Amino acid sequence: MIRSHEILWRHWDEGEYLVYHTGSGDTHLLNVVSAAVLAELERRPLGIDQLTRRVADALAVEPDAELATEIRRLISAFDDVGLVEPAS
Amino acid sequence: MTVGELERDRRRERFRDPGMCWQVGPLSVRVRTPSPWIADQLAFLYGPFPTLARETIVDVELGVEPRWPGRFAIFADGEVQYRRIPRAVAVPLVEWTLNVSAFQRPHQFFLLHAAVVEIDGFAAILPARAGQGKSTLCAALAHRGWRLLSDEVAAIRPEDGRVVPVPRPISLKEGSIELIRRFAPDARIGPIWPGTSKGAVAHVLPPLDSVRRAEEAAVPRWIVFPRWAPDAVPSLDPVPKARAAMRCADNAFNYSVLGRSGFETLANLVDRCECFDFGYGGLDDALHCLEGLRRAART
Repeated sequence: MIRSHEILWRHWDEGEYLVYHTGSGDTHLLNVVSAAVLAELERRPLGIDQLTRRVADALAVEPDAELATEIRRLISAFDDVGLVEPAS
Repeated sequence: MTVGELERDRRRERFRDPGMCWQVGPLSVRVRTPSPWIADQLAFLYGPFPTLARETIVDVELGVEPRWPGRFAIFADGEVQYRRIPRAVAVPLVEWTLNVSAFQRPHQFFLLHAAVVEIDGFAAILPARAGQGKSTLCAALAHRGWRLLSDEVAAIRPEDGRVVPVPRPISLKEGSIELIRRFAPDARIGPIWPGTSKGAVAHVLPPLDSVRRAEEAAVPRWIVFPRWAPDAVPSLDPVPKARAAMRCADNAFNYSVLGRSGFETLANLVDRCECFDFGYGGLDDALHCLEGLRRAART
């Protein structure tokens, strides 16, 4: 299970999202996919399989292996900057 | 009473002890120097600015002391900044020290490294790193009907998102000095100081109207990232707001200090502004292009 830290969001309908991580004070620019992943984790801690299904629903795409791989890559990148952490 | 209205000997005396205090927008400054030459140079640059009572507790406190032979030491809040600098670079370095000191403290503002000009009550914020033509463009606009708010910093009030003027002299470098002299013959430009680390530097005095209206904040309307290149055709290309926000954060002096309030102020700023990359080569073309933004805002 993975969960997100507290973040602030701004979005302007231009396909990119601005997020502020209150823990680190860092600001990040996210595309639609990475924003969908973080938004799902902000709602509740999820495992990779559940997360892939929910993100696929949100983006109206197939929950296939390619999406799961991309989500794993994003989780790793989010973990590197402290946006997410393992949930017990 | 302004700095320039004080009779010369009284002014020099005030600079010597206890130091001349004046107001630059939201900032109060004191400079203490026994050097009549430094006093006269600063009186030229800050002539129209209102003096403050000698006992004022100021935001920025500088000292400039002569060092034999013909050199100076510069102090900020009692800490030495330059130990022995030649006379030829003393004035630009006093200005630079004032710059650095001024923007380290006032964290009641979101401070963005940018020039700011205003027209029709709306501010255009021009964030840029060195070499992008920010100061040259700002000096040109300030002498063609736009009000100078600042050449160096957009001081944004988190409470209402307005830009507070800090209309200090505009520092021009090298070829820009002659360019502005030709472009705006009415501009008041101080002596040229060769041999600084940035090459020859001269200061353009802020137009009087800008100094007199230094308490009049403006509503941000445009964020324009200038990019000068010789012979460039003027172009205004929209920048997505999230990207504009990231670029502003990179150009801010105190974004990381302000935390959540900084993010909210930044996001509100880009929310209310149209954001553009602005490529330009000549000043006439540049002004024409920015006038287009102004006309569009009126309709």
